[in-house]
Amino acid sequence: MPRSLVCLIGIKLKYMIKVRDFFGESGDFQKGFALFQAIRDQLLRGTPIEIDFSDAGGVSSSFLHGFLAESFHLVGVDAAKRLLMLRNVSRGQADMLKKYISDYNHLGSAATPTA
Amino acid sequence: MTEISISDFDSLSELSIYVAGKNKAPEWERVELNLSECKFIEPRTLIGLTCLVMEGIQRGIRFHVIYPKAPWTNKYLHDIRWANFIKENYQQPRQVELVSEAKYSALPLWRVSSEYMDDYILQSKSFYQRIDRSKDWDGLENVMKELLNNVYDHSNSSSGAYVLVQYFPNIGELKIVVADAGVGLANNVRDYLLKTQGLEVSLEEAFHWAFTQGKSTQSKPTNRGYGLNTVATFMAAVGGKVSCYVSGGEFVVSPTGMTCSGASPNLLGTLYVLSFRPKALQDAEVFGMFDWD
Repeated sequence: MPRSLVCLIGIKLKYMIKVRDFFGESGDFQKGFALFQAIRDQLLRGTPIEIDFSDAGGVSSSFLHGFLAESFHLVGVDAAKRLLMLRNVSRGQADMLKKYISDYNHLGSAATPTA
Repeated sequence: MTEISISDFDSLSELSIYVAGKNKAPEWERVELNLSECKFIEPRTLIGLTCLVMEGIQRGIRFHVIYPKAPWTNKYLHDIRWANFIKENYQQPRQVELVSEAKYSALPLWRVSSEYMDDYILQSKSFYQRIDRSKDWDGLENVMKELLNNVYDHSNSSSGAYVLVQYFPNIGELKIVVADAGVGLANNVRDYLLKTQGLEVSLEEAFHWAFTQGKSTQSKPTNRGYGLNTVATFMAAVGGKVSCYVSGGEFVVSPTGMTCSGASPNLLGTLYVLSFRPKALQDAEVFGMFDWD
């Protein structure tokens, strides 16, 4: 289970995770799914989650299937977008995230999610 | 002893047919691999050859190599570790060492297993940064992960992926070759469509299907058919080209569109060549907060 930092922002608790520290290179489905599992409870509680992508390198679609598609499936796309605050995202990561979201909106979840 | 000469990409066919015809040789069988006339070896030829030799060794073939007469080509094969790589019982070091020459720089030939993928990607970062530190290389990392994951998830190759990354400063072009000795992309798609939908498709249709968004031969959560489409989208965005080779077929995705031809030698598995100019990459930039919209 990754370390986490919980801090007080106004009256809301915010959960923070740095991808690089806990998951190294964000290459595959298992790592994406591990990230999803680490934030699952916060998503269900409606707690904002800050995820820091600095130095995490390229994000593959497999990683995003594990992390984003599972989050979308759990709480819905709009709620996931509201709760997930992705920080320090490089241009390449941002392009990949945008393409992934566009594909997801276009195709939906093409396979049965695991969660 | 059988002698097989290799001079260019097309000449891989003879070796491919020979290796494919061997299940397991009754005794060690010797093949003399004659590279003596090679004056230049393209990265795709080298990786295709490596796949065939490694698969041949697994099938009980022992290779004796006649190295190129051309001194520069001979040196190249040693510099990028090919000469070591094809030795029986070669142990690949954990550390990827950069090769730097006046005409090219390279990440040497590497076998990347699924367990080693992240490590390899991480180490390749320093190589890319040396080419141009001001550019954003994360998009290329995405692409490498897609191709490697594709090998692990679909190729059914026991030996993982073979990768060579080479930069040619005189023309400012980066070439990346990824290959496996598995079932072959087009075969995999054709079998899948036949079994699941009763569809018989041509080689060209199989390639188009594989590169189309949302098409996958597997329906696990890890496979939703985003990968090859992501590769094609990235390469188009940087004005580059991705060529995909299987036995008897070449599929090219370039800024001008997609084309399919029979211009490929016999090969085992699938071989991808990515070529583009790093100058075309976007400048490195970090967004403090990602904008979902």
